[in-house]
Amino acid sequence: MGTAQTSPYTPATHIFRRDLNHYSADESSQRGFSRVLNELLLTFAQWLGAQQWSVGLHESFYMYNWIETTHVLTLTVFLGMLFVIDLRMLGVALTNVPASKIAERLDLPMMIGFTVMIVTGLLLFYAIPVRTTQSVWFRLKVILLIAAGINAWIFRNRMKKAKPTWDLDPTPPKNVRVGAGLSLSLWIVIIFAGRAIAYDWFDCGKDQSAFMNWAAGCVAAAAE
Amino acid sequence: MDVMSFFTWLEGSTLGHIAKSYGGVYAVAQTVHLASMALLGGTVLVTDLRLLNVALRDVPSNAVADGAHKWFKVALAIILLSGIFMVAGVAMKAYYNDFYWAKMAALAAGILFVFAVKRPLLKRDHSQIPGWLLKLVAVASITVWFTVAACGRWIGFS
Amino acid sequence: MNLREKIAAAVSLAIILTAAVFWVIQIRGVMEMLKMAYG
Repeated sequence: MGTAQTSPYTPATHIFRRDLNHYSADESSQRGFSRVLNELLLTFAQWLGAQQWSVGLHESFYMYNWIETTHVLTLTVFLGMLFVIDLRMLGVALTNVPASKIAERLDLPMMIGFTVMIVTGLLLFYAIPVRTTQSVWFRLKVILLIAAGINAWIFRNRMKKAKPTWDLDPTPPKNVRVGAGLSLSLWIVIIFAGRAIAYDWFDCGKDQSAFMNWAAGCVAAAAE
Repeated sequence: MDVMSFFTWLEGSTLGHIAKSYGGVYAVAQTVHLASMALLGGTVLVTDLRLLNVALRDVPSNAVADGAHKWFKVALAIILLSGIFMVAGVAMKAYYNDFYWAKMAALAAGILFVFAVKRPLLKRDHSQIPGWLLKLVAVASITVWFTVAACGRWIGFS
Repeated sequence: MNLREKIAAAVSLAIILTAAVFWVIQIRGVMEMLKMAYG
């Protein structure tokens, strides 16, 4: 690492759109359960990747690009609403509006945005399943998405207690502020992870540490 | 100094050198650009959806517009700074890219629109402004910022 | 309607119309490309 791609503006997905099965020769990086899991994921991804629609999507002239563009642009809807809510919960934005009102009123546009993100995200995965499955950044993204989901669920529970207590306060209680700060941080790292998927820094087949190969789920060349 | 020589200079500058040499740093800059895009979009949408009477209907639209504008400015500053860093790394390529210039034109229009037209209008009491005008302004706002974002993404594909 | 409001209306309209023209041109270009690519 340390060197830029030849063209930072053009993501590597442009090059990797023809799905390549990357294998690591380092079999000792995998043990038992994780090896089985990674082999299962790879098999599933290969099965997906062989489907006509998957091939069609990733060889398409525009379709993949449009789906990707929709995914990135819908960030403004989904995370746009979420960031405004979080900023209110940090007590730094729209402080003259009750906190619960911001959360409730912006929930619908946020969830519409979220739905579009999920659908486009799944399609993007489906178009290039093997490379995505074996991307450390994709894996990190999934883990962080789950963490953000848990954080959001905890937050929703806390919001229920808001109305009779701190709803009208410009600055919510500390645990809410921590949750909001955590939410902002998680989502920014999620954006980074999503962007980094296109880079080939830690792809399987690269000369890298056993740990990286394990993290990416690289599977030693089997009978292929 | 004309545009072409400015872009040549930019790409050869220290900023340009850093942007070209460190893919990780570039990716971080892109992330900052995207995150601030999300915030910018959020402040624009919150205001415009309120003006269109679609969201936050039981909150006074003046309060929404004022509160959102404060963070719009923060997001705009960050997005401009990260954008300058990013273009420094690929300045010549951007110079010859039609979508880059479309984006810059839309961006200029957007910035001028916000600070010379929209904000001066919305600073006043909204109940004194014709409803259709508020909605027209909201549609124009969404249109221009959508165009900036869409052209921005399409630079990467062209 | 005072001057500020008239200007706001005119500029908003100008933005919407310019964008409409721009996007129609883009969409036409895409349709041509698709015709060429897929026949």
